[in-house]
Amino acid sequence: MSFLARLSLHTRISLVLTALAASLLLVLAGIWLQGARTGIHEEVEAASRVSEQWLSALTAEMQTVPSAALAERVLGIVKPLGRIRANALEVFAADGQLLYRSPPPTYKAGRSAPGWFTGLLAPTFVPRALEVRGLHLVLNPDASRSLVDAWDDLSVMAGWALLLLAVLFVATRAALDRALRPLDQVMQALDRTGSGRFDTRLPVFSTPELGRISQAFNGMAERLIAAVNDNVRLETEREVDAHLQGRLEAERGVIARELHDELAQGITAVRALAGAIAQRTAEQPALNSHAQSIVAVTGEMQNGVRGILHRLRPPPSHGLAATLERTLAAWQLQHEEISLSQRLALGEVAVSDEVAQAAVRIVQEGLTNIVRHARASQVELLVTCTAGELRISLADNGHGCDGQPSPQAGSGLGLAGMAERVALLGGQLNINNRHGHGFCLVASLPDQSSIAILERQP
Amino acid sequence: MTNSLQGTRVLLADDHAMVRLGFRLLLEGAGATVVGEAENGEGMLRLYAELIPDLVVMDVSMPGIGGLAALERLMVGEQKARVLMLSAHHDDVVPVRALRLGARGYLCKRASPDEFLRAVTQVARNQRYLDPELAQAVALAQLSGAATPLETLTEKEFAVFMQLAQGRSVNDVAADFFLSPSTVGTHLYHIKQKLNLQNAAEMALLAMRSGLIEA
Repeated sequence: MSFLARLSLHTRISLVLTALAASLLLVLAGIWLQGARTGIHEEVEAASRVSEQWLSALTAEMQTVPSAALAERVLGIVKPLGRIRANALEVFAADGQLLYRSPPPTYKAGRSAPGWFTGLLAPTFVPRALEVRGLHLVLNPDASRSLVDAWDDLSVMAGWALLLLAVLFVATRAALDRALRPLDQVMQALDRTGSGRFDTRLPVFSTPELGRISQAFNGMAERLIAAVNDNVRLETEREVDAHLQGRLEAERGVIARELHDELAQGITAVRALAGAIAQRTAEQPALNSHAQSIVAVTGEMQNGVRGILHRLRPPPSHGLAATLERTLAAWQLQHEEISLSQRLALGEVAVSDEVAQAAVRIVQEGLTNIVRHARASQVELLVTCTAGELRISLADNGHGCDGQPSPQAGSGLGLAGMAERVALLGGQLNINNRHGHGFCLVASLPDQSSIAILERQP
Repeated sequence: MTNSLQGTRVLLADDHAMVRLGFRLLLEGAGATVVGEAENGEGMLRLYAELIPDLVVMDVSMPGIGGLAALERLMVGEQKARVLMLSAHHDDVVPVRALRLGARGYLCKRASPDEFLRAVTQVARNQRYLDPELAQAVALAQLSGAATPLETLTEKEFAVFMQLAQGRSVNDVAADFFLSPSTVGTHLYHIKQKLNLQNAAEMALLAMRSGLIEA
C-alpha cells in the first residue's frame, strides 16, 4: 500500500487501467482455451475414428492372408504408414510381445507443451484395440501435437497481449500526463501565492474541471489581494489617525503649556498687582473697589484657565487607575493575610466620572465582602477597559456562599447596592457562587464617554 | 494683617518678572521688604548666601535646577531657612516632597492675594502652611500608604527624575547639579528600577500623569 501510495497519480491510474485490460484479456484467454480444448478433442476424436475405420478395413482384408505371413503382412502395411493421423499404433503378438510401435511424431519433433498446459487442455481418450486373428493392434490417440500447436498459438497471443498492455500502459500514462499537466501549474501557483506573490494567476485550462479550479483560484487570489489592500489601507489610515492624533495631542500640549506658563502666570501677576493696589487704596473706596474687582475677575480667569487646562489634559492623576491603585494598596496594607493579584488594563481612554466612581465603589464593596464573608486567602482583580465598556472581575478562593448566615452581619446593602449602582449606569452585574471555590463577581459598565470618543474618530 | 510682615526681609524667586513684581508690591504693601529677586534656583541660592533673608518665596518650576532641587540645596546649609513654595500645579506629590525637604509652606499660585499674604505671614512666624485646596489631597495621599511609586525615590533621585522627565539630557542635568554624568546615570538607573520604567518617554508619561509636568 505504501509502495502504491508513493507512485504518482499518473502511474497509479495507468496501472489500474492496465490491470483491468489484463483481466479482460485473461477472461478472453480462458474462453479461447475452452474453445481450443473442445477443438483438440474433436480433432483427435475424428482422427481416431478415421484411423479405426481404416484399420477395420485392413483387418477385413487380412482375413484371407495365411496365418504364418499375417504378422509380416500387417507389419508390411503398417510400418510405412508410421503414425496414423495423430494416433500412435502398437502391434502386439498373441503372446503379448510388442511387435511394432510407430515412431514418435515428426511434426514439431521433440517439442511438447508444458505439463500444466497439457493437464488443462488434454482430452482423455481410451486406446482403441483391434484384433486380427491373434494380432493385437492398439491405437493410442495422441493430442500432444495439437497441444503444441495450441501452446504455440497461445504464446504468440500472450506476446501480443503483453505488448498491447505495455502500449496501453504507456499511452494511458502519457495521456494522463498531458491531461494533468495543468496540475503542476496549479501547484506552482499555490506555492507562489503561499510565499506572498498574490499577483499569481492561472490560465483557464481546456479541461472543464481544471478550468473551474483555475477560475476558483483566480477568484480567491482577487479576494486575497482585495483583503490585503484593505488591510494596508486600514493600516495606513490607522497610522494617519495616530499621526494626526499625535499632532493633535502635541498641539494641545503646546496650548496647555502656553496657557499655563504665559497666561496663567500673567493672570497671577495681574492678580498680585491688583491685590497690591487694593492694599494701598484702603482710603480710596472708588479705586479700592476696582482693584478688588480685578482681584475677583482674575480669580475667575484662573478658574477658567484651569478648566481649559483640565479639558486639554484631563488630569490622569485623579483618574481611575490611580484611585484604584491607592484603594488596593490601602486594602492590602490592612489585610496582609490575603494575597491580592491585580491587573488594571485601563488603556489610555479616560472613563466618565460616574463610571469611574462606580468602579471604585464596586471594587471597595467587593473587597469588603471578601473580608467579611469569604475567608479567602487569594483575591484576583481584573479591571479592563475596552471600547465602550469597563469590566471588573473580582474572584476569591474562599468558601463561597454556603447558605449559612455569615458570622459577621454586614449592612445587607452590599450586593443589592452594588447591583443597583450598576443597573443605574445601564451595566450588568453577575455574581457567580462557585460553591466551595469562592465568589466571582463580574460587573460590566458601558462607558458613554469612551464611545463618544471612538465615534468622533474617523 | 497689613503690618504683620513689618520688617520681614523677603527673597523672591520666580522666573516671571511680572509675577515677581506683583508679589513684591503685595509684600511691600504688607510691610515686608523684598531684598532680592532671583529668576532661577541657582540665583536664589547665591542671593540667599549674600542677603540671608528672613523668608524665601520660591516657585517650584523654574529653569535650571528648578525649585525643589534649589530648596534641597538650601536646606543642606541653612536648616533654619523659612521657605514658602509656590506652584502652578495642583497635585499631591510635589507638596509632599517640598514639605519633606523642609519647606515651611506650600501654596498654589491661584490663591488670592490675601491667601498669599496669610501664607507668607504664617511662614514668617515659622509656622507651617499648606494650601487648603491641596490639604485634602495631601492628607489622603498620606493616609493611603505608598500612594505613588514616586514616593520611593530619594530626594536627589526625584530631582533628577523631574529634570529628565522634562526631556533634558543626562549631561545637561549633570552640569546643572554639578554632578558627573556617571552619577546622574546611576540615579537614572535607580529611578528606572524603582519606577519600572524603560525609557525617557515613559518617564515623561509618568511625570505627566502625576501632574508633575505639563503635557
